[in-house]
Amino acid sequence: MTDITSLRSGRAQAGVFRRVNRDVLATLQRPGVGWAAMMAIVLTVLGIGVIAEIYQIKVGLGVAGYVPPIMWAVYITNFVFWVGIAHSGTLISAILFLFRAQFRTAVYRISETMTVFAVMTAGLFPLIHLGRVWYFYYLVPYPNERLLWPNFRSPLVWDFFAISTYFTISSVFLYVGLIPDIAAARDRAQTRFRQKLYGALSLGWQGTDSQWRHYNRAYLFLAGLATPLVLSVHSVVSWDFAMAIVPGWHSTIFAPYFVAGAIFSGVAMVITLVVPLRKAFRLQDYIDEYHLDRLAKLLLLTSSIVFYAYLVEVWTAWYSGSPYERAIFWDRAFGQYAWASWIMYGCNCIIPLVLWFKRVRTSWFWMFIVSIFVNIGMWFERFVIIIQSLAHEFVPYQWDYYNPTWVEMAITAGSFAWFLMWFLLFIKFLPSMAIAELKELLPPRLKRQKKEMETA
Amino acid sequence: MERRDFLKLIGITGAGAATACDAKVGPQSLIPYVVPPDNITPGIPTWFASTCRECPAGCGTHVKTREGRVIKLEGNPDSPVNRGKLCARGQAAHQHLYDPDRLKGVKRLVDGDYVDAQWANATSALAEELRRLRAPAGTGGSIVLLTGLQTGTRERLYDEWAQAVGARRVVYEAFAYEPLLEANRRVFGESVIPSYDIEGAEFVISFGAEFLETWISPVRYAVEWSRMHAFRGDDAVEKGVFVAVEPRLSMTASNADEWVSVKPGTEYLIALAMANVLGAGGEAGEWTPQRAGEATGVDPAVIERLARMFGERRSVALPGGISTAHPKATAAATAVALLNRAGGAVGDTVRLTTPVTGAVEGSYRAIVELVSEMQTGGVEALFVADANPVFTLPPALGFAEALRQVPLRVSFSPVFDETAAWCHWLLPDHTPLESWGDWVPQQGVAGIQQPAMRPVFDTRATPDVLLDLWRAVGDAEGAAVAPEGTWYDYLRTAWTDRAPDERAWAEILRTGGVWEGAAVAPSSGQPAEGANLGQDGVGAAATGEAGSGEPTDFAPPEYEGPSGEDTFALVVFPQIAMYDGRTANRPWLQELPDPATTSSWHTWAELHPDTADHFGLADGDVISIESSHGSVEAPVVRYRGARRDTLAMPLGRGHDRMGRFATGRGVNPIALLPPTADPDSGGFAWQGVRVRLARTGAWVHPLTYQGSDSDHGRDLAEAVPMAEALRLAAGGAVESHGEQHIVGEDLPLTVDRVVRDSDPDGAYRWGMAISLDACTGCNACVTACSAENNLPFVGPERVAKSRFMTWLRIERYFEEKPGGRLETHHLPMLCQHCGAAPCEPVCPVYATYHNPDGLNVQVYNRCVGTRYCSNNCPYKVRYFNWFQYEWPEPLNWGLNPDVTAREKGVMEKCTYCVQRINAAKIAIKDQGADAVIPDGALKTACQQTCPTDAIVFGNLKDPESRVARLARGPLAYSALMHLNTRPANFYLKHVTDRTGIEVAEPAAEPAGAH
Repeated sequence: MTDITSLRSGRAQAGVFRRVNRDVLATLQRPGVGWAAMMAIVLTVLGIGVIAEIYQIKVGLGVAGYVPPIMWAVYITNFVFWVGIAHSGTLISAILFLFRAQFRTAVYRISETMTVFAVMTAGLFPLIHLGRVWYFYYLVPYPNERLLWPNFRSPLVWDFFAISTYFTISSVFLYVGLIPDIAAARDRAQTRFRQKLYGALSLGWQGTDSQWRHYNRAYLFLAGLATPLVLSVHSVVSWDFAMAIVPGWHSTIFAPYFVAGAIFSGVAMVITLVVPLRKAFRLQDYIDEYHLDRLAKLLLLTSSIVFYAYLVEVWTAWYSGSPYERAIFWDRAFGQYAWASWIMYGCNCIIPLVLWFKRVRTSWFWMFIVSIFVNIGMWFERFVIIIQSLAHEFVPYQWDYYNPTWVEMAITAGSFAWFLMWFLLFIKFLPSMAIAELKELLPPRLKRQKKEMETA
Repeated sequence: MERRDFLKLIGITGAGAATACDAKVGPQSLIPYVVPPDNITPGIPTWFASTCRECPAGCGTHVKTREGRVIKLEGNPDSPVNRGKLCARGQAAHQHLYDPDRLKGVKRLVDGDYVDAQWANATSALAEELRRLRAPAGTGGSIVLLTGLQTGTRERLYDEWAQAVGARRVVYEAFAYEPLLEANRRVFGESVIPSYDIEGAEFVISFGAEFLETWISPVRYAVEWSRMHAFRGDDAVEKGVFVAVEPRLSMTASNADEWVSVKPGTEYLIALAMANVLGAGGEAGEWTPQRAGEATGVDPAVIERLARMFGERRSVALPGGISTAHPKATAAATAVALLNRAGGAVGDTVRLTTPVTGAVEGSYRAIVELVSEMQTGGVEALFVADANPVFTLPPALGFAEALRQVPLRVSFSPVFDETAAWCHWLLPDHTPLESWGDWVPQQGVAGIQQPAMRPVFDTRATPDVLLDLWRAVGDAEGAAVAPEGTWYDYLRTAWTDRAPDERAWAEILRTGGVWEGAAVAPSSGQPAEGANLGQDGVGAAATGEAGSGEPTDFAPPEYEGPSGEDTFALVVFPQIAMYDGRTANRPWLQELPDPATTSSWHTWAELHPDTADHFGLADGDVISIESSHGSVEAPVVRYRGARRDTLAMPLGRGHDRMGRFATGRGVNPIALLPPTADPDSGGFAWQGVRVRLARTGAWVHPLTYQGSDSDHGRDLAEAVPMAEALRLAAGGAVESHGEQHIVGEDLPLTVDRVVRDSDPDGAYRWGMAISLDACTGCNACVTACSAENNLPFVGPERVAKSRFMTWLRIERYFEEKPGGRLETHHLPMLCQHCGAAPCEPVCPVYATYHNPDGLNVQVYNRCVGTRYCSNNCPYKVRYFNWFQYEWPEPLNWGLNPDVTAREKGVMEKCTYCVQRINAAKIAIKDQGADAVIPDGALKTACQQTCPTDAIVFGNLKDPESRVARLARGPLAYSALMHLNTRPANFYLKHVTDRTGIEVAEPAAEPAGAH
């Protein structure tokens, strides 16, 4: 009776709004064994990561694999990786909202939450990598009697502001978008705790006309505010590198290159998360091949930009005439870290070429595989940029090779667990799809009837 | 609460807190000296003049103490031996004093275990034994006193004691240079090692003498060599030429203008052929350049060219080191002596009238005899002092096994070394920094050795123990009359001639010795006064009259052992940090990178990269090295300075006793050697075996410091041919920097520009001028820096991860010249104190900033450890505290209290010895507010110790300062100049191409290659 073949086709039938509510909010039901098992695994991995971090603080940063002159390694790789993941969320929710790209509706909530949690994960790493993390507050501009302020010339201080701003805006944006859906969840909440929780969080949402009007204005406003951040935050992160004199870092292309890479990796991560989620919660009707195809095209576009950036880098290095730049890129392709570089080139440039085929773009299985490769490739992109560049700098006496230790691996795995923990909690506590916006997509009944009459 | 109540409460709690604190701290730590000890003013260092005893060279030292503890050693500028300089071993001498594994008191072996004993009991027990065993005085009975080389009063005491108690003395020194003595006896009629006037020579040719590293008196020779050789561009006078003939590119050879690589064991044939070209005739006459060329693998034209240079210039040929330590060693040393004679060097640059000590006649022969005596039970008691024969003798000789036959074995070693481990009694001596003594490094030069602090442990000076024994034994027999008093009294009496009254004695203690006949005066270029030219010099000796006239067989030595494609001639060489192994438990020295291979902490096997490729061996692949006498396993180090047909291994490591830093580190290649001696001199043949190598399949992380051994044509280590340097120094215009500066246009970087990177109203802009032409890569500066700035040692596991903490490192780069000639550049790399320092803007917390003197300073307390500064430092001279580095008690006693200790998680780097700068500033304030530290009054630790004066530190703002003049000179350049970091370190180019080899254009490295 409530057969929804496609929301997009506008052929929904009676009771469909109720069904949207039911289907989406079904994700909030009592967790099953699968969820509990996943949570247990995630918490275990996180626990190991926390133990590794405590050990590192106690003994010193030397328990990580750092090999001078490679002073930044996997932690900063993870930082940039997670910041990158964070970017597609805002892109999908804010920029595509402004462009009225309707395919975003089904996935924007997931990508937005991904954004917030990814920023929360990313923000850990600058702290984890500090030699004296117990003095991390020296980086914060707080008033003090000695008038000691952070060094505003340092890109790391810019980072601090960029990341904290981004976290603030993206959390607010996520929350505002959630309000109507939390109200829906409140209305169907079964337990006292959830009623209270959703009641408080929904801020008294009634769904009145004036509330909707304000809500839409606020949402648009926040979307406008968030949009420049997509470009700025990762530009600032890229300047951590581009402002340095390290060959392989010191390049004007870094800001656009990093932004494109961030969106690329973010979209891949959205696909990686959506595919199993859709299956697990039977949301096939809401997220279908149409959405997948659009995401795939976005992936293809950003992949092309990244590919182009790689080529430009090599060209610039050659054209600069600088032996240091040339040596870096020669070493990148054929040196000790060639394995990592070719993982990067392969996963980010070659494998995404299959997205030119529609059959791949609309295949859940293949898209999942491609997205995993892109995730790996983009992690290695940061690995290569950071570690390989530092390993092959100006002074040949100080060239070296780095291997991560178990501590770094445990903390890296822990960061994924940390991210997934929040994500698992989110899908059990808050609607992972935008109920209200899904409903908006359904064409008004009268309009549709009129259209049907005309065609008849 | 009332105000009064509040105040009461505060009063009570305050008093309580104070009492509590008091109880916790204890009363002793807060009471100041009521009667301050002599020489101790808290915060002010006290200096003692003394003599370094880390090797037989006997350099004069100034020992710096603070609050009664030794914290640093510096060379004594008055000493004619080292002229204010010290090597790395000297700089680390107080790590012997504070060795945590030293014997802390007298011990006795009881049922296989060492138990603590009392000094009094030890003396009485041993005296009883001696009384029982003693032979009639002077006959040399069954008691043996085995000591290392001694030269001064201690030598006399040992002899007198031996005679008095009826013992026999055996002097054994691992590096005894017997063949040199024997050859000089044969050629010149005197069994001595002459003073070689390197400073006065214009052409120095060394036949395997590592005179910049370990040979006889390395600091002295390094000082002389730099005066002969280093071209700094401050005058346009052509400097001398140095050629090294060696089978391995040692650090010494790496400083040569030409390294003549020869088959091991045949080095001397070059000398012979050169002598022949110079008309020596006689036995040398058979060895034409052609024949020598065939035997050595050297182009005869090269030999002729070198011979011509030797004849035309004021020259000196140095025999020694690994090239006069094989079964034909005496022939080798004779050949060099003949060359010196043929070239007219004898009496001129080779001075037999002022012989140096450092050689022991018949040292090895005596120990071989001792072994056979011990085996037959002829030795009833053995006293060992200042020698570790179990370690330095080949196991095949059976010294350790023979020891079993000796019923009473006594060790005086301050550390529990391999020989001590065989002894029944351990009577630890003071270390040289705790004891009285003297040393005669050369005739007419006597250095005094005085204790700089109270003994760290319950040790006793061995001479005092011997005197006690003497008195105990002598009384019983009534034979010899033992001197009254202590070792100090004995020494003081011995110095009565030189110090008749207390005033003179105090003066000697102040200056550090007496240098009457010292060669301290700069060489005049004329034969030294009193040179025995007529007696046994050129004229007489040419006919063989002065010498003993024994015929010498110059046929090259046969190397014994396996042959085949996988076999190699083994070269074992003394390494600059380890010497003969006695310094192995000094962590700074273990960690010191070998100047040639940059390896540390282990024993490696050097193979030429082509050879290694042939066997598919990478750095760190463990190979087994097998001779007919033993086998060891060691990791490969691919080294371009190795010959394709040799395998070289350093001596000094591979201890199984001695302490935590020495034990189990590396292997001892002596295990591969047969107990063979050079039959003519009796000297031990360190060379002479062939070894077979086989891979084991194991791999260890290379413990080398370097990443790449080439600077890849980058503007780091620059060189200029001598002719061009002379032209520039004479005021010639710089033609083009195009090739030197790869990126863009030549950036005008002048001293004037660098000076502007400091407070315009201030008086100082500190800077350095570092001469690559003077730098030998000896690493003395590195250890000096470690001692001055409390640099931790990190251990082999961390060195493997490049986490070494030496603020100053010597980068060694090879440059392949046309014809396969290898040119070595030693580049001291330390913080450049850039005017536009890339590290400064990236620090998020201002932990690094520019101070008004232009220094780039690091605030440890502010550092949070982002390490961004290190990433952004193009010179990579910032070092991060990955861990809380530890100083096992009492090594921490040697920390410099003027330098902050660093916590884990902070960055550190060279400060230009800011504590010395500040001390000098405080001192100069007495002379008025505007007084400026005069040039030369302030020296950094590295500059102070540099034997070749490669490092000059000073105020660039003062246009007349030495550093400013050198930095403005024609050879000055800045490393990585194109980055425009405006470094305050100016390097002076390495001056090459002095030997007349045709200079071809260097082959350009393909772009993009790495």
